Amino acid sequence: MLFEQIMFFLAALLAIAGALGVVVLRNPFYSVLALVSHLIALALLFLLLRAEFIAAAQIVVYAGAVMVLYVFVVAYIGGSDEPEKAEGGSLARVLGPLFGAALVVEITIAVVGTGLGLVDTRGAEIEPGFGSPAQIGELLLNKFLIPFEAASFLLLVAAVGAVVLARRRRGLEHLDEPEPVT
Amino acid sequence: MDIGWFVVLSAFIFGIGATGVLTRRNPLVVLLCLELMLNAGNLALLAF
Repeated sequence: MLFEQIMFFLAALLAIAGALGVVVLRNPFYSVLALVSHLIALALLFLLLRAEFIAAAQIVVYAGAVMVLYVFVVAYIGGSDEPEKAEGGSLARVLGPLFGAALVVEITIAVVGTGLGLVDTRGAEIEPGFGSPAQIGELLLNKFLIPFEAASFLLLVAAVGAVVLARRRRGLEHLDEPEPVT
Repeated sequence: MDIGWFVVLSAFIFGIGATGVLTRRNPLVVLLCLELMLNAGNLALLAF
């Protein structure tokens, strides 16, 4: 129990530090690295919640694949530091943290004010195989087959649409180039 | 661990992400902060 609490506070500190790093750091590359540490801390928290498969998927998919994608994007386009002063941004720069703090206070009051403490701290009764990859796969392919297929089809449509949009943009540049010649 | 700790932590992460979305100019960093908010939602979902 004590070990669990120590791990929770360590992971929570790391997660909050990573999140702050994403927002505060000026270089987008360092923001991506802070987000990686934040995601690893979140995977630790998922392990504490006994969601081993989700934690593994978080490490592999988020901290591995998605973050590598972001690093590539940063290396292509976003490597430069953003300018210190953006005109018209001062209002958002002041109001943004205020809004965020208000949101945190509001959600915290809502959480503390509800009867959440009455929920048993051990959680619901779970059978031994709960949350294992086999059971998740069985649920996805039996009970939630239609939403699963709908989500995958939506992702397919999004991927094809992105390819079409990117190619059309490049194709228009190609079309524009020969025109001044003629 | 009490479930409230996890929900409050996810609230903190969500607030930090919302602050980042509102204040940052770089669209890439705005996307990163959106990821932060999504992950806070994930954490709150898994806590229950």
